[in-house]
Amino acid sequence: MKVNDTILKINNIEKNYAAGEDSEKVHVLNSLSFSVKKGEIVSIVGPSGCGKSTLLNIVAGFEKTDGGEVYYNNTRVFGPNSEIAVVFQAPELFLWLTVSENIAFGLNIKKEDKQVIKDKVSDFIKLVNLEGFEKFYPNQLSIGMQQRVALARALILSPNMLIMDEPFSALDYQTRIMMQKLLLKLWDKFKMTILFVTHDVEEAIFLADKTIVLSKRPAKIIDEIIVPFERPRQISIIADNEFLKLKSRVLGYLM
Amino acid sequence: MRNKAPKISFVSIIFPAVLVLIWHLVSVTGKAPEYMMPSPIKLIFVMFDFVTGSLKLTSYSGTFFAHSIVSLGRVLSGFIIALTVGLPLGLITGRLSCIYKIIDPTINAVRSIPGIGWLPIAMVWFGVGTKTAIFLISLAGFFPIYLNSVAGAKSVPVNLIKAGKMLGARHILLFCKIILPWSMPSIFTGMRLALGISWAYLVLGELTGVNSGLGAVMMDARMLGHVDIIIISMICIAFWGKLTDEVLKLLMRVFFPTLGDDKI
Repeated sequence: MKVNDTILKINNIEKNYAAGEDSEKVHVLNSLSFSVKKGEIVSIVGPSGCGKSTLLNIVAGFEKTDGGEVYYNNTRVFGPNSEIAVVFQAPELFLWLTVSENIAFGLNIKKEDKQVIKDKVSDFIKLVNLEGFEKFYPNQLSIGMQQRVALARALILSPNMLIMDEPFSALDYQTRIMMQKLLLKLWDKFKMTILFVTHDVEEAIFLADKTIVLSKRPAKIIDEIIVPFERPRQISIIADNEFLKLKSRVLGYLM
Repeated sequence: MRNKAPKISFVSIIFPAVLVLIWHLVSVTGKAPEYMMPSPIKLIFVMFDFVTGSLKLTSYSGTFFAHSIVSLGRVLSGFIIALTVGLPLGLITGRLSCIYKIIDPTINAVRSIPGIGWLPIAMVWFGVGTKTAIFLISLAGFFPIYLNSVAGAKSVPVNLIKAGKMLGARHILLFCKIILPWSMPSIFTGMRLALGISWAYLVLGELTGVNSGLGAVMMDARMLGHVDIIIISMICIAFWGKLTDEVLKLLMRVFFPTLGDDKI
């Protein structure tokens, strides 16, 4: 692996939380280190409450570490960066804006040309299959559709990296598979690096090139699994023997 | 819900109709003397004259619009002052815990002083007259706007702020594009409460030292023994209070279509 292939480098990060000012500190992240290559999809699984979301918040620049460093493209991360987009567990859309306005939000902040914004928004509406819903407000859409708006809103800024915090966990099984396929389709088009936290072991393996398994708190890495399946992947691989072996290996750590 | 404007049913008219009927009977039979409670029919005539000036029944004949405009001007000036101070201060206080800790306890302590308790000191500071009325109105309107702006700004979900930051909105943009619109339903509630209370404090402010406005008409009529005009002024204030509330709701519906029909 060449050094400049690495887009994200996590170096011995530590994080403690205190519930209140006087209460004892909780050790959340224990000297975590790993790196992510450009264009790679990396999923992170681990027991509930182990600090997966904290890790994502640190990478996205929303939270500070208590030790160690995060490097994005060889530059230390100190705050949110327009090249790193985030999709949250809940869609977190702006309820007072229409679907189009939500998707255009980031470009409007950047004061892009009106016509450019209009064209780009209409492209992304097509990409996430929301034609005909441009003028709808988020509350008028299903959660799956709202999450597609959130994806479009993040990807329209052409981020090099997409961070996703259990983005499909609130969806039913069919919608989730549809969203996974959509995500892979978008990845195929933009080849952004994806860092993905999930509870769903099947999802973690199906989507990822590499699955990182975290221990319970204070989280450290117990395993890094390279997922060997070729892309594009068909949903049928989840019944493949190799896939099932990986799945039971990961489940073994979590049980 | 839309298309479901509350309909006034026949049943809900019975009660006020019976009350007016009893009122009428009590006045025509002389059980209540004219100087304490004029009959509803007389009130209708005096009201008509107060608005149009065509009957010359009282010395207030035809002065409805002149007094209303003065009162409306005071209410709106006070309301706008309350809004310009209360809204930004509330939003900032709601977002920055250090400022919240510094000023919120004091504001809440000051809030517990009843409005009428401010009248004497306001008269010392501003003299008797319009300034005192506007001061009282803006003071009264400030609290509900401030409190509801604080509540709105405090309730912005953490991840919504993160979403805004991730899309490049920082500082003032974050305030204008996310915190303000998110807080709008709450702010709107505060504005409606403030506008309602403004009319109450208008009367307080106009009771002394001014010779125009609906509150002044009331007080003047009391001294001249015009009970009919006192009651009519009360009705006029109710009318303007309701009308300004409806206009505020209409403006909100036009500018913030997603505020939710249940809120408006």
